[in-house]
Amino acid sequence: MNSFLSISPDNYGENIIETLGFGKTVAFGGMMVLIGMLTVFAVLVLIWGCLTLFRVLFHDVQSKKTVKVETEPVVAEPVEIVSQTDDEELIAVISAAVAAAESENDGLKFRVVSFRRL
Amino acid sequence: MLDTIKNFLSTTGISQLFSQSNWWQYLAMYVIIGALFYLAIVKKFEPLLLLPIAFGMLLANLPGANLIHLDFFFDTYYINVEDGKIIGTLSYEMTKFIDAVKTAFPDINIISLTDTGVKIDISALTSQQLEQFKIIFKENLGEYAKLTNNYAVQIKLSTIVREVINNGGLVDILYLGVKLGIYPSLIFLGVGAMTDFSPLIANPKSLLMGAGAQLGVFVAFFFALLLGFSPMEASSIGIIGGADGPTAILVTKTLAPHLLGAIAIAAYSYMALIPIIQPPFMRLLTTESERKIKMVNLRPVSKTEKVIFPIIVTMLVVFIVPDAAPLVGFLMLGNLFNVCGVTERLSKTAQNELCNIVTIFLGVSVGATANAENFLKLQTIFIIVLGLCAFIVSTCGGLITGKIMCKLTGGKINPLIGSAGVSAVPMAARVSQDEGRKADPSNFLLMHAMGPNVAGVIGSAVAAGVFLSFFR
Repeated sequence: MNSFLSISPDNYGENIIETLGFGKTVAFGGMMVLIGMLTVFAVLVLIWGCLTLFRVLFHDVQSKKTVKVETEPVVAEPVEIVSQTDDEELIAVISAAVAAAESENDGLKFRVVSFRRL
Repeated sequence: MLDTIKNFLSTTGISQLFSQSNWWQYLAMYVIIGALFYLAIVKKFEPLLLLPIAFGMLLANLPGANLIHLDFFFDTYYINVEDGKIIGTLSYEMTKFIDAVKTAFPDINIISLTDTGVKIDISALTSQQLEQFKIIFKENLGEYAKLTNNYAVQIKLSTIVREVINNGGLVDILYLGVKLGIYPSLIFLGVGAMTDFSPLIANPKSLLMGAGAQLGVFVAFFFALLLGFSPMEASSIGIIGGADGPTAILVTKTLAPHLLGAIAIAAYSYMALIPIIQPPFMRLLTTESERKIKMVNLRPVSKTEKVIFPIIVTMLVVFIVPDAAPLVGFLMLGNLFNVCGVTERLSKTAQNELCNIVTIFLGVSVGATANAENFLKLQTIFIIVLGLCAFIVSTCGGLITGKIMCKLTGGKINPLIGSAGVSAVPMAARVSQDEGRKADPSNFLLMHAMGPNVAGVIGSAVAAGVFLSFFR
């Protein structure tokens, strides 16, 4: 790579504030912050664009095709009374399980009708 | 008999320790190593990595053990200048090369010996003479070294590997995996196999928070330059803000291998300390009402999307930042093993055995680079301080991006998930979840925070690619 902001590749391994001075170092560092952040944003925005296309191409189309299927109701059993902390943990676990089940079933609709403590 | 005992005693580690002028540095290192053992075993901070790193450091700081020879991995071991004379294992070849250049170009001063080594200045050569110069180099040194684009002499990896195999020990051989950039990629293979990108695919907006959380990387780079580090060293320090150990190791081993020990220890220590570092800034930059925002459930993600995602991301990232290929490529390959449904055995191996084996090798060999002479320097303190600043600024960058997105979406995004953009999967996402629950116990942000969290992994790999493409 050729010199960048009058800093040649020879200087990349050196203390540039000593050899080139404060002003040039600030200009060089500031430009790197700008270029670096812009590159990271550009790449991730491109991926965002692709993922938005994914939604249109794969999710919305499949959702229209998917027949609504509901799981057989499971016989409900009485839930034990547990502490508030346990409840919060339980809700977190159940939310994660539902999200995982949703993502693994290719858009298949289902309804959770009961929870049973084992 | 007495002589035998004396000889034996002089070979002991204790004798060797106290015969050195810097013996106190070794004792200081034992205190630091003890602290790392405490953090890993008692506090359970990233024990899978901190423990092997701490033990590697211990092995490297036991006098007489000679388990690692860091010299083998630096150009100065092969060619160096001391008191105006060329020394090192390739001194004969280098002298021969200089003599041949002087004979071919008697009137031009191309090579000079300086304090930093052999300096080559080709500015006075015509293009024809330059070609002749290159031929002379190839004939005399071409087997062992190459000329960089800036006409500096760089030792070939094959020379280093040969030296390590001929004269190295176990840890030297393990360290070759770091030097050749093998371990970070293999760790990323395992990370990819363990990562679920569904939250990111379901909510691609979270990519912006992953990008915003790379701010600390570049800000730390900037301040490292002002503190007198070279651009190559500053890049390695800045990347600590990416909160991604393998990425930090890959950048550092390429750009500033002499800082590897300090940077790896700083990176992994801060990753472990995320639950302590992030929350104050999360509370400082968000309001109570923002922290209470409940986000709607994520849409389900189809298998087709999950399979195409790693392929598309690899192509996109590598087309734009080719130097990110060793990280993003392997991350996405591991993920493809996991989601495609036909390579279950490969996925399990990448997640478990392979990842665990590489973690041991990586931890021990990286730890072994932190010997007393290398580690106990003022620049290590700068690295640790700058690394902490990088983490904090990255956290704030993610939070600010989250706040902006919260405003733009009319309060549909909880800004707390922005701090998870610093990578460090899944610890940063858990911190977002915990802070959200502190504000409202019925708020569950974990799945939402996983989006920016995995976006941060991609973002930090891209940031690493930017540094490598500029300064390698």
